[in-house]
Amino acid sequence: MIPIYLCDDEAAVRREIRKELEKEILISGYDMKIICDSGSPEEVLDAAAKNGKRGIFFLDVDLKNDRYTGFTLGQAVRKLDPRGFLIYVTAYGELAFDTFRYKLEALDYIVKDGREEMFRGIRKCLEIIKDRLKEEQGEDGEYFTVKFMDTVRHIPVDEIIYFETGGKSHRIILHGLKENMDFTGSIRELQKTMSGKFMRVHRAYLVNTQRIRLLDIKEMKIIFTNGEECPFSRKAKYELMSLLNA
Amino acid sequence: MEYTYAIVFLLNIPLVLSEYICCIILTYALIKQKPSLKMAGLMFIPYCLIIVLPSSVFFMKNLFGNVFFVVIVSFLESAGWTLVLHTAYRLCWEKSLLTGAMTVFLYGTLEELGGFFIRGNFDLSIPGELMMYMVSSIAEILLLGIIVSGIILKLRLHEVYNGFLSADRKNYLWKAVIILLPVLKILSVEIANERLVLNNSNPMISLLFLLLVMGVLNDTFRCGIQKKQLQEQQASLEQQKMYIQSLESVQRDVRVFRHDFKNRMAGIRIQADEGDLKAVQTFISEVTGDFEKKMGEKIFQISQLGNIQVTELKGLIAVKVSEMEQRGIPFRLEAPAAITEVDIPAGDLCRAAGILLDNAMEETEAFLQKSMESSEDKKHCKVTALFCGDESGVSIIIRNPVKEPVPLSKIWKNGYSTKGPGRGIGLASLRRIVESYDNVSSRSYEEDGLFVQELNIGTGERRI
Repeated sequence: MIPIYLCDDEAAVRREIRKELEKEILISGYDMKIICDSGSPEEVLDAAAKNGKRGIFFLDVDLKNDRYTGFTLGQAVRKLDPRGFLIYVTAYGELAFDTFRYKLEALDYIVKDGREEMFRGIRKCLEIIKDRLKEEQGEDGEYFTVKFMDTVRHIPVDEIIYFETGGKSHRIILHGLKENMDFTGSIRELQKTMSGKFMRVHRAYLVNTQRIRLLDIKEMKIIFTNGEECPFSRKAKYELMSLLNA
Repeated sequence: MEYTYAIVFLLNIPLVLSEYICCIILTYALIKQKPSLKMAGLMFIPYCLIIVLPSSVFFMKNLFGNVFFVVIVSFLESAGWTLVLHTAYRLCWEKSLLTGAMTVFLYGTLEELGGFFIRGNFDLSIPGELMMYMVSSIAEILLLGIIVSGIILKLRLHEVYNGFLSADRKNYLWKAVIILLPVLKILSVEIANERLVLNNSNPMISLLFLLLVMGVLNDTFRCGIQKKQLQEQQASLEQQKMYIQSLESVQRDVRVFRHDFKNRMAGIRIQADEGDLKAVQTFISEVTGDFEKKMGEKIFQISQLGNIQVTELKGLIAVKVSEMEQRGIPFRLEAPAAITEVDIPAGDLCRAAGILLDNAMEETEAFLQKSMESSEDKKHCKVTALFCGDESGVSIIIRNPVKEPVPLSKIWKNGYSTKGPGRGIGLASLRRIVESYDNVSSRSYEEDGLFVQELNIGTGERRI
């Protein structure tokens, strides 16, 4: 069962959302339950920490709280529940939502102007969450995490093609199926943590062996399933060949 | 050989002619004017007489050992050239006098620079040496005249000089100094040579050297500072201009809205009087929706820009915003929290953000042109820039639509560009900036037809 948390200053808005949520859960038979409904961000965080499971959070953007704004509450939630679903509730459409989306990986936002519109938004969000969860069941769920600043990124291990050391020491470039990123780190550490699926084929390269399409022995390079290439060292040649033949 | 007045007079004519030509060159460098040829030719006769007659006498009487007579000749030179300036260049007397003195000072200085190339004094009583003296003097004067003029033009000193000439302020003191420059030079050479030579030290040369260093330092560094200040002012001006423009456009919209609003109010009043609650409700929701649509976005953008408080970055974004407005590229800016400082040097920050924005702009523009027909595409077609700061650092996220998949790993390689060879320098220097700071990480990916570039700059000690 997926826990749902609600945080909004206005009790009336909370009541409305709660009612709609309960109705929708009942009608569509979702495996979800509202376990906390409060105007206090601290209470919501406590409840989320206690429960510990991946949850769904409906958060007010303009909290009248000294310690938290909607955004910083989102950040706090992300620390407890990195993969939870964040939905923001706002009084007006004038919202820097893209920032929320990219920084907090917020799912969506609901404008609480009109009741009908708000309810439609709530229903849509629950449906998206259901679909997301269903999709994820197929995945084997292994993630590589990169922490930078206050954000933690989760990249499915399967989608990583290879790691490369950058021009400067302690610079790692991750080549993924869908994204590239670079960060500060050590390839030797990575080799340790990623052992199993990954292989150090070169002083500067750590590759996902499942992503190798073929070896170009003459040119001494690996060609990956997406067409990218990287060189390999003489030392790694036999290991690579035996791996691919097996 | 025996010198007579006539021989000395005749021998001096070519020397004075070379001086005359040199002065013409120097004057051109100083005030960028050429004399009328006829007048210049004509004026050579009085010029020549004024200088050659007295100096021949001084030479014959062997008076040049006395500095007093050297000063007199330099005054005559100034007077002669002033006369030429007034007649052949048609300058007013004051400018003629100043420029005359300046030219003679420069001429006198570069004439003495020849001393660097000569090993000893010439013995003018031997015809061969006299010949050598004449030829080398003339060649040296003309050559140095051209070089010095070139330097004056290259360093744009003539601008400074003309600024001084045409200044509104009277500058009497400086004008007096300029008029006395040739004399001052002769006197300081005299002092340096004769009067104050102590063991291993010459106060005059030290003094001149001190002044030189002071002048150079002042000029170089003051110029640099001024240039920087000017750039900053330019940026903030640009920024204010764009700010005012957006405020004006909001004001225009409000006026239009008010006009509409009054008309519609009149209409709804009748329905309200009749008690048609439903109509009033739709009216209210329509009006608020309209207002949001027409003005909400603009007001929002202005408030977002206000949150970026790093002056250089704000200036850059302001410039880019107006550029995008001109090129018709839709843009959305988000900066929900105030950004007061970024932990990399502002120059690199602006360069990186500029590269990202430029790329996004170009890509979006191309996208707009390709998708003229379908309006569905157009809805998402805009450059989005997010600036998000908190205590852990600042994230810059720039997003633009793309038609074809971006070759991710290639754009991270040196010198690659989708626009063909020779264009990928921007991305390469972005990579260089990213890699040179430990507290910077980047990420680029594609999602739902949007290409996203992300730059994260953590707070922390700067390490390069």
